[in-house]
Amino acid sequence: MPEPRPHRDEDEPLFQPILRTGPGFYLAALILLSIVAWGVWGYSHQWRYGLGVTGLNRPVMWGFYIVNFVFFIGISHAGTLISAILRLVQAEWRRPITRAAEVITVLVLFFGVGSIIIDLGRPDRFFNVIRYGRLQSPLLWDVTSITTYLTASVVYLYLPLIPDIALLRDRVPGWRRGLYNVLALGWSGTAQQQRRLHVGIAIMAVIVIPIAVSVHTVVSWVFAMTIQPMWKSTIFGPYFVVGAIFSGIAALIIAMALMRRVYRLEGYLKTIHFSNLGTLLLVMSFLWLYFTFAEHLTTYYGGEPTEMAAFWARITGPYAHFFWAMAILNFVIPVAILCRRRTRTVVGTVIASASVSVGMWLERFIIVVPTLVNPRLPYPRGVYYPTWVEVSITAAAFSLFTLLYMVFTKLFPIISIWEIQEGREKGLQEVQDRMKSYLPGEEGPVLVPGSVRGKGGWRRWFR
Amino acid sequence: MVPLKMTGRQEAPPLRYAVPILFVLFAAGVIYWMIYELRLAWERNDSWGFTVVIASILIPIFLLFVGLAIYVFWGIAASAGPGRGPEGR
Repeated sequence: MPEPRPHRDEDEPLFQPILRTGPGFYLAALILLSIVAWGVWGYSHQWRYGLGVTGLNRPVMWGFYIVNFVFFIGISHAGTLISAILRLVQAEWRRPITRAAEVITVLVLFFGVGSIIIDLGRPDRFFNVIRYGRLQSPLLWDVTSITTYLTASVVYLYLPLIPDIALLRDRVPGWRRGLYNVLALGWSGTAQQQRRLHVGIAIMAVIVIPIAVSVHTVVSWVFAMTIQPMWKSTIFGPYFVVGAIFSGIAALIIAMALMRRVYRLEGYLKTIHFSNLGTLLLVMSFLWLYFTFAEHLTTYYGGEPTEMAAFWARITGPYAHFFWAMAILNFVIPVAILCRRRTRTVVGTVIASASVSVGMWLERFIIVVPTLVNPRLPYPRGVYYPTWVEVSITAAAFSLFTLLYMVFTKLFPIISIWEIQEGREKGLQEVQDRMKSYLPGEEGPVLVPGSVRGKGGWRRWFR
Repeated sequence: MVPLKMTGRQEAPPLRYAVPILFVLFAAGVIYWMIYELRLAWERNDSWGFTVVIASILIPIFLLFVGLAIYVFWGIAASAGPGRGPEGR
């Protein structure tokens, strides 16, 4: 094992957000807190007077809150899934972006769950799920899958944080040192500790992918297990997963751009990172279009009257402006920007991502509301307009998420310091060795992570 | 992993075991809930098939989490402490 090396001065910018806090942070926090306070007031109004203060009514029983739930759970695919895939394929450019992505996952999952509790109207009844839950209901499937995903995501975020927390423990004075002392688990970088950490990260990177895919599939089943028009679809699972990864990448790009700008991390979050993620976003945009087209074409070709009512409500009816705005924001704008290398810059990818974020929220709205306005059963048709309460709570949720993300960057490095250093020390050599193993010639040791072939088996990989 | 140098001031308080203990308790709580759901479904003869399928997925996953917590979190915490050499003991 090589001798321990001190962290380099060149990584000092990664400590700066934790060591120094400027007035801009407090100003931003104050503005966000004000919006959160307004949302809390809105929720207290709903608590006192019930769901009657919202726009929810027969037959539209799901509105903004469920749209937010699906949107937040979708965004959560930013982190763990993208980070795990990039880790498994040993994409070296992942190093500065994985943590920013993993934090998004953990935080938005809480907001996804929170949206459901707010939608309950009587939040105390949430405990009935624990006490009298019937696992025949897809809603209970959601509870179990989101619990699993949240647990896995927290572990997957925490594991690579441990060495960085130990660094902070040794640098940061004050009350935070006590927190770091506990969370660092006594990390001192011994060979045994490193081996265990690498095993943990490798196992979690494999486990978290099927869990993440299953979560949004289960979210889609909340809709697809009903016989409501345009919900009962066999492709809803993959359709939702694609949309989730799509919106997740967009959220990640926006978060990265903000961190880069605010904390002056241009040396770490480079144009190439945005360009690579922009390419991924472009691919997902085409995939999203494919699924959306397939979904609408099969409905149109079938021509079933109740399905067509929901279909026309989207295409030419009262929700047409949302539908076409969604199509422009999710496909036309991002593709126009991202298909050319010249415009796939930091600014270009951020504009495309902002467009996709709004577009994907509209997509969730388009899935939920027009169907409920045109139900299969012969209820009277209705119209859904959100009230100030729903708009306030939604604004508060997004503000609180942003605020918590900011607070995280003040407590922990938003870029993994040890992974950056590892990239510098070993990355080049590893990539060279890997390249050699791809080229024609004698069969060398297999350097692909997770492989059990070759001398030494999987243990060699963790060494 | 590139070993990061610690300043030597690192402390290894007993509270470092709090994270693995809390995590194991949480995972055990979820497993207990699933067993409770199984019992509920059996007693009421209600949605037994669904409960068995979900429990057979969820319980092994959380058992794996428990194992991971013990191996990684507890293992790291147990091999910590001042006076340990770079290779650990």
